Amino acid sequence: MMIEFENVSFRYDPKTDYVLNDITFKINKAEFVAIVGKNGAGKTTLIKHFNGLLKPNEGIVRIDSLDITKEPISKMASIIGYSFQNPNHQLFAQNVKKELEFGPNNLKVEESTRDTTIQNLVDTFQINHLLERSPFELSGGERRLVSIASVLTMNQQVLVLDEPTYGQDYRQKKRLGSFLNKLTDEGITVVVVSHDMDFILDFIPRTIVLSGGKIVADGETSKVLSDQTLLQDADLISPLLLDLCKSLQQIDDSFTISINEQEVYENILALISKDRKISR
Amino acid sequence: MSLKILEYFNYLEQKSPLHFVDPRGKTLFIIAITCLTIFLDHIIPMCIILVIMLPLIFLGRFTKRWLKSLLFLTPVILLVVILNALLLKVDYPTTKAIILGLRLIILSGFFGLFFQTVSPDDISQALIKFKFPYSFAWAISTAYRFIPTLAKETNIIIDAQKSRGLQIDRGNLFKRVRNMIPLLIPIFATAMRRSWQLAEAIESRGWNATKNRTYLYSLRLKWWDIIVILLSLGIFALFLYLVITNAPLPFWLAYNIPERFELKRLFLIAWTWIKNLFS
Amino acid sequence: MVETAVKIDNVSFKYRNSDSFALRRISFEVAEGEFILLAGFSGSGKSTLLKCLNGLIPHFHAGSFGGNVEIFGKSTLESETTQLAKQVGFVFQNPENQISNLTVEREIAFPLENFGVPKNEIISRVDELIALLNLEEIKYKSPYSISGGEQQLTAIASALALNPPILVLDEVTAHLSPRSAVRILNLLNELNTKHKKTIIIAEHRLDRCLHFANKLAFLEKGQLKVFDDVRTVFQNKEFPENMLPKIPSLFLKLDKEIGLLDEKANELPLTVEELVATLK
Repeated sequence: MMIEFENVSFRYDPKTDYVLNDITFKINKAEFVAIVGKNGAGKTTLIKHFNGLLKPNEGIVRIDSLDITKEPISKMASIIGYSFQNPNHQLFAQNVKKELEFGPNNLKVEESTRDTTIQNLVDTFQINHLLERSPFELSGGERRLVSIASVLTMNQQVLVLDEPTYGQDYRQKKRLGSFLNKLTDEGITVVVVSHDMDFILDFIPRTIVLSGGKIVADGETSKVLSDQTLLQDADLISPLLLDLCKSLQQIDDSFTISINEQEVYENILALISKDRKISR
Repeated sequence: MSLKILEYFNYLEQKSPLHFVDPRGKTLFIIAITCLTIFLDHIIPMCIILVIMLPLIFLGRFTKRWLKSLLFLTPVILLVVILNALLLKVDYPTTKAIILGLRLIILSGFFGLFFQTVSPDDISQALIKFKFPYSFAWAISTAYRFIPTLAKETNIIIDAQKSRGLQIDRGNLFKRVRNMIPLLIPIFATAMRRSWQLAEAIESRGWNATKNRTYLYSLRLKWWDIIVILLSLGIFALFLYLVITNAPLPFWLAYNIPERFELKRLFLIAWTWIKNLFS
Repeated sequence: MVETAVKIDNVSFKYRNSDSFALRRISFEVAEGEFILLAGFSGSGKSTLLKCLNGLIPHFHAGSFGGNVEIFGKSTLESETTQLAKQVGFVFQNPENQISNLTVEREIAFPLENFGVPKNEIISRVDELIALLNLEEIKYKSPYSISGGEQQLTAIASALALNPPILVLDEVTAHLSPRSAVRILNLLNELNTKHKKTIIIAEHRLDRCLHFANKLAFLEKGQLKVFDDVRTVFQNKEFPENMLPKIPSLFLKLDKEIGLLDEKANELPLTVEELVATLK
């Protein structure tokens, strides 16, 4: 599904400043987008508009042609999956299996459909061994994984994930990233709010930078994250590979900048072999 | 709605002169004034206390909130006054009822002022001075420290479960109670987890390491606190004097509303008048 | 002769409600002034191991504890966590849940008060720490009105209040933005080099701190797989490839292809600067 924000402004209190200030953007069906920004830039406020937890003071939010500012949240849950940052804020069931069934049961999904979806998720996340355990016994990373899975069970067409990689190790991040990639291949739109540079660089093609309630950049991740001022705006730091490329470029002007690991590797390889030829 | 009244009675971080008065002095004062207000049974002394209260409320920068809280209390006070004026079986029931109303206004004013100017931290420090165990005092200030966190967290939990399709305000009573479970368990679990982590954190920093704990800040009486305490003791002495001697007030303080203006009498006159009109 | 700060001898631990051991026969030593990185996937026992260092295990957490931990030659079994606070400062992952006082200043004073330090000494020590960590602006602020990074700095200042020679940190940057995380890691480096603190840290962002570390310990399923000099560890087969930090990983790949290590460098580069210098 397509998501469209049209001149959206929002503030929590008429006495305070706008947290979102005239925001307009479009996310196409099956896109994978990262939203970055400082704490307090309005990221969480923005994504709460996706499923109507917050309604804009001005402007329109559309999912396909549906104006969601007029829809109740309970209906939105079947269209948009929203996973909150801290798993402890939503896990409650006796065991992981029941936790995963909670969402579909709320939406009155048929049992057979529900079970196949859940089995699918359990297989991709490799959490079969956790099903019978209480969510409170799990480690932080496992809890985060279960809380994301418990949202994905509802088969929505749009997913919004707030800091999905918190507390996850490299292995789990990789699994999550490739799973989300697979979802977009199947036509699902995925939006991620994150500070995790490596995760964004490795998996998410488009990045939106939010600063002071406004969109200050929107484009290809590798371009956006190579811009020093934008990085500063988003409380991010320049990726190591970018630093490396810049230093190498100072040695040899012909060196092309990239922040893709494989590309950098090949470029360095080319640089070295060129060097060796000259020295011979 | 009913809880909203409490908003006018919590602590406000301000720098009013009354915020700088020692909480022990303020506690003594409020005890003395409460005793006196409850004991005195005449309109004029009540009015005097009310007049004394007004500048204090102004000094404590409580005026606006006090007026708002009065607005909330007005229906209650009116009800109390009217019912008592009609139903009390004493001499001068209207006088007594008005005294009751004034008493409510005075007490709510003084207690509101007290809670606005005494921080939970003041309370815990006062407890320490009164030789309560430190852990007890710490628990009070820590509970206060986590109120905003708890409130924020509860909102997030509600949003998170709503996003998973939970409908909180639908269905019959039984279903609604059942729907509370996905909210209450995370709220309770995060609170538990927090207290464990907090316990680890204070343990790691020398909790109860010695019996002779020192304090970076502790209460110390200033000259104005001495005045407040002496004043409170004075009020208390007056109260004791009145209780023990049972001395009658001088006539000019013991004013009662004359019988011909009694609410009950006026009501009866009006009632017979209306009855005659229709008979 | 450098003194041994921490000696972990054959330590095993099982939490009371768990059926498997969280730590299995772990032994290693840390010399005074060293910077030790603790790496491992989530749930590998990093936090549990760190909690053994100041006696939270076995004094605070019930379970079966075997082996011995010595801090400057004295077993943690012999002294309570409270008393160990003078030897070991401990900072936890969640900044929100470890600050218990109403202002930053009083949070820093808290351990000193606990030990009955005279008031004038508390004042000067607090001011010293506030100057050291640049906390002047938030000195009188309440802990919930400051950012996560500032909260974590406050927690570090408080852990340093008693001037412990050892500082233990459990994924303290996990909840922070990259910028504040790097700020904290650099601060730890300064504490290590300038103030001679022994630092033991569990950390996911290896990329940003491995060049500060002397040694790296890699835990897997409660077992110590590798414990060695940082540069050597990454060439060890036991260290998982997908956990390798960017720069060493890039270098090792290049080395495999064209053999850099013997020809151009005799040690593994850890930072961008080192790699660039090697490639020159």
